[in-house]
Amino acid sequence: MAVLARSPIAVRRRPRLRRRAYLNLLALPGLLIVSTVWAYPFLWTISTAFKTQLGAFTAGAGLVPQPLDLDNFKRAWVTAGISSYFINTVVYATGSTMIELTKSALCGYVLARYRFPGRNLLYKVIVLTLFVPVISILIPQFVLIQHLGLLNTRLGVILAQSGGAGALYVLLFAGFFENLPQDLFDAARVDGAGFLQTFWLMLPLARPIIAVVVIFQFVYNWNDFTVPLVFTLGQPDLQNLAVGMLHFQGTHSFDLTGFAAGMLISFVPVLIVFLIFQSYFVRGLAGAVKE
Amino acid sequence: MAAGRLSLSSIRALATRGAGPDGRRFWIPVFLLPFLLLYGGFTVWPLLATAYYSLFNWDGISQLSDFVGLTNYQKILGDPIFWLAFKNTLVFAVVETAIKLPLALFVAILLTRRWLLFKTFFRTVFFLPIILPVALAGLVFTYLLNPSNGAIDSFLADRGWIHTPIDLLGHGNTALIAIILVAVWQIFGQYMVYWMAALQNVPEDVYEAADIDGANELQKLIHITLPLIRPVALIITLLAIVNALHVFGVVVTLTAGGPGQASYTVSYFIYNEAFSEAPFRYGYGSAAALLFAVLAFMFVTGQAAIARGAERLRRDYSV
Amino acid sequence: MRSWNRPLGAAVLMILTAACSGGGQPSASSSAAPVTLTIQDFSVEQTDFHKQVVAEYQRVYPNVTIQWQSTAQAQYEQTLPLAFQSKQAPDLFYWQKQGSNTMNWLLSNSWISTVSPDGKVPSDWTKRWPAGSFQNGINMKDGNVYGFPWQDTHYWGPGYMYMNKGVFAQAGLDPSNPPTTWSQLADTCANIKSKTKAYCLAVPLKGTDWQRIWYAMAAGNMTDLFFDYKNGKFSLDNPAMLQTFNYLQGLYNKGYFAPGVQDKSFSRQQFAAGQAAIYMDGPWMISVWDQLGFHSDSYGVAAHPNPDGGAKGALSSLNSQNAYWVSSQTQHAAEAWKFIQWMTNPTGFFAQNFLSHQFATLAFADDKKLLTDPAWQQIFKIADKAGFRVQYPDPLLKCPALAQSKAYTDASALHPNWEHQVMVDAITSNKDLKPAAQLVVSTRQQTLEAELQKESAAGLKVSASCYEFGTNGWDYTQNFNIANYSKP
Repeated sequence: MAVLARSPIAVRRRPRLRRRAYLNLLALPGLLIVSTVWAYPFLWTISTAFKTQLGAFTAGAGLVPQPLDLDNFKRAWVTAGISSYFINTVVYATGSTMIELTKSALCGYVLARYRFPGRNLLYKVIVLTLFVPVISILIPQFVLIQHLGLLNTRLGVILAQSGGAGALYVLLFAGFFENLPQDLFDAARVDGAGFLQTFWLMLPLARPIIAVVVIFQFVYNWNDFTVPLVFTLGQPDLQNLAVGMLHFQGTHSFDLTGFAAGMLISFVPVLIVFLIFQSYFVRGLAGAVKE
Repeated sequence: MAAGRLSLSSIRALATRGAGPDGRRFWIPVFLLPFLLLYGGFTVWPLLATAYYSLFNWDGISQLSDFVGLTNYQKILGDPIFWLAFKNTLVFAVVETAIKLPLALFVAILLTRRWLLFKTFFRTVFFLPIILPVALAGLVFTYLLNPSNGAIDSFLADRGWIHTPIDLLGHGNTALIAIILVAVWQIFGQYMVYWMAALQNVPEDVYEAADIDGANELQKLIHITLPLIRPVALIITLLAIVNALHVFGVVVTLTAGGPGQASYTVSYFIYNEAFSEAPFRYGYGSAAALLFAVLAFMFVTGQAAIARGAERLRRDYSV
Repeated sequence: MRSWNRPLGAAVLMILTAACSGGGQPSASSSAAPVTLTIQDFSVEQTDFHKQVVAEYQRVYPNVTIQWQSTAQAQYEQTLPLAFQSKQAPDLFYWQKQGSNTMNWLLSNSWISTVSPDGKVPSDWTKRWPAGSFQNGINMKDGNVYGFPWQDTHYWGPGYMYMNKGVFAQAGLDPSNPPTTWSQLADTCANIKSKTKAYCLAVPLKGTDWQRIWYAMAAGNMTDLFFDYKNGKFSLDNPAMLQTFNYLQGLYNKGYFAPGVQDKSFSRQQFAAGQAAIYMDGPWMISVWDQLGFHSDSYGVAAHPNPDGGAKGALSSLNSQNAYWVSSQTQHAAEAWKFIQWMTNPTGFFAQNFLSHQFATLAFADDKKLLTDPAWQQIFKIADKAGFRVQYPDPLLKCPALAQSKAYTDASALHPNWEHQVMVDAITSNKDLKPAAQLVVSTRQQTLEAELQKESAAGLKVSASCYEFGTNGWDYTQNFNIANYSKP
């Protein structure tokens, strides 16, 4: 590894600070403009939660609710059944995220670094199955859960939610592990690490991918209404928030302001998960070998 | 091993006996098992079942009795509306991916620079659209894009930049553009996060060494970043295209495939044909789904082959 | 690493325990006192009303708890079949998807049982409905009663023209003197366009929402259906239908439509916000607009305008109003029947409160007395006029063997909503509708005739003449009564 020539710290700091300020001055204004435009539809949705339906319509571009209507929140709380469904939603999202994470990390690791019979076939099958639209596979999944006797159970819902999209996370993990420098593995072997220990050592390096899987599986699950609805037909109190949100869709009209209010109440946990895990995207592999 | 004394390590030693130097012949199957079980049960088995259903005329409710063989496939292949949907879907996928991937990469690079302030704020802003359920996003944009009093049009009109309102959703040729833009907006954050994860693969030391050598940002991008993230980048590209090919939620809520059939995509075609009127045509829908999967796969691998061929030519001729 | 192993493990354990504890027993069905009835539909906007019904019914019959579950329509239609398949069907459910053939379809899938445990009903129950409401093949089979008409189909349907009083006043027009012919409508629109800033017609063009204005206008010229029951052919390429379309296309090209491809919610709000003068739809708008805070003192109702030479057709009233059914998997047939009787009491709690909310008309109640909103009174006046809406002939009653036929459903389920798609396409790109209409009609007609032939060759007593009522003396403007049906 190249030994970096280090100049005295004090002399180095001033130009670096100036460079930082200069780059920020360059980038921030552009980013601010883009962010405003980007966030606008979301802000519009949030402001809709405070408007009356007709008020939302006539306001057009305006973000200020006129008249202000807080009734939407009361209605949303009851219609979407937020108090009853919140716990379920958290359980499903957390449970399926952990299962997803475990199975994709394990499989991706093995797929990336070890040759075994059927490896290429597995890779090909995974890629191939990515191409099939998901619409048509609900009935067979239902039949499977029915035969497992897991209808109307939380476990059944979690399993069905973890079974679907795993393929792409496996590919991400595999790609990432494949990219790790061989030196790391050699160093571990020299230190006498076995299979499991090597894996335990390598896993933290995959923190970015872990963050990706957690964020997206959580978001996807949080908003998924099909699986929690279909697999809890006999026990509706096992449904989640996204199913509750379906109740805004009446026979003749769609309760947009109620929906917006419901979404506003319920999206905070997803935001928290994102805020926590996005911090994983600053640390790199700096000095990993030296450790 | 002493009789009657079972410890974790002794169990493990027993299990991995004969499994290779680090026990891999035991561990590899163990690691693969959870994925294979869930994947097999919830993805592979349903796919096989779908292929089986596609050979029947089935409404999803009664018994599976009306075997029609490959008739469903024949009907779909001969259906001009399917090909229209297919063409639209390809156009959508290519254009949307071409927009979102480079843009997301640029933003991801920017938002992982150590010198940037308020990183978390900007990352959150780009991520927020994903939290919106797709149904809501489409509805919101119907309001924002409508030419009567929509936000976008009134904004542009107030500043005098346009005189007649632009009706993106009202004309066949612009409806698809509207869908592409809304889809990019909605899914952008996902690819930004993917790229941020990919960029973590690049050790900070390499950048510092380049800094010492006097490289500027563009050179660092082309010669360090892109080559180093290439393997993951390929996967991200594949995922991007596949997701784009399956676009559905935005189409349903923004245009309902319209006006007319101008923004029909294959997922919407399947949904409309199979599920919008009784009796459901489950077999037909299954056949369309599988047929599309095969065609899409051929398209993507064809593109990849072309790209690889071009790459080889470039290298051969050192261009 | 190891420090967060333990709490992680604890968290996993907790979640898995929560997960495994979710499976409970579905509601017990003991034949002793407490009974739970499950009712499912997609009338989400009636949820508060359902809660009142449940409370009231429990007050009268303390041992019965009703669970009334409503969800969005698309999801409802997807999950109900799965519920039946996994033996989790509710006791009562709402289903209307197959129109007048719904009962036969439900029977063929073994989804329903008779409304009463033995299939027979007392005459003072059937007397709640007008004569002829119970017919074999529609809601009765072999003398057993399976369904009962829910909403009426004479007042409840498309074809009414709503006029925004404010916008009309700005243009110097009077809603109580509405346009009654096509040219008058065009003149009204010209007036509104020149004298006000509002659009004339709020017309939704997204998906199938185009039907709101189409059914209203096409009915006056021939029929509002995509099938011509006089000649037994699909109707879109009929000159009368094309004429209606060309008229509407003319209005669109003159700029009388509100711009954009909107869905019905948007157009309705446009009307309520005073940005459009006219909107055409059915009587459900009264309660929809009420929820928006837009009440009937702000708008007028009239019949849809007819062609200049007078009405050559009428809106259709079909035998499609049987909606709630007793499921075949119910464990409480007697309780379900008791509830149905309670629910359909014309002067009972249900009818009175349902109608006071103005959700819909009820076939078994005195709608005219209980729907008191002035807009409703106008609706009744309009629909009571002869020739506004007529009872259409039903092929199922002419040829009962059609219950086993798939020909018509296959023909019309081919490319669902195709007619709407070609019409919206033609109107937004200013194309001639004729070629596309001919393609649609010929494709559907070929399928229909080919399959009918196959079926009759296989011994089913069906033929193309089952769909043709011109020979029975029917014309588009007449009521087709039961007496007119003759055996094939």
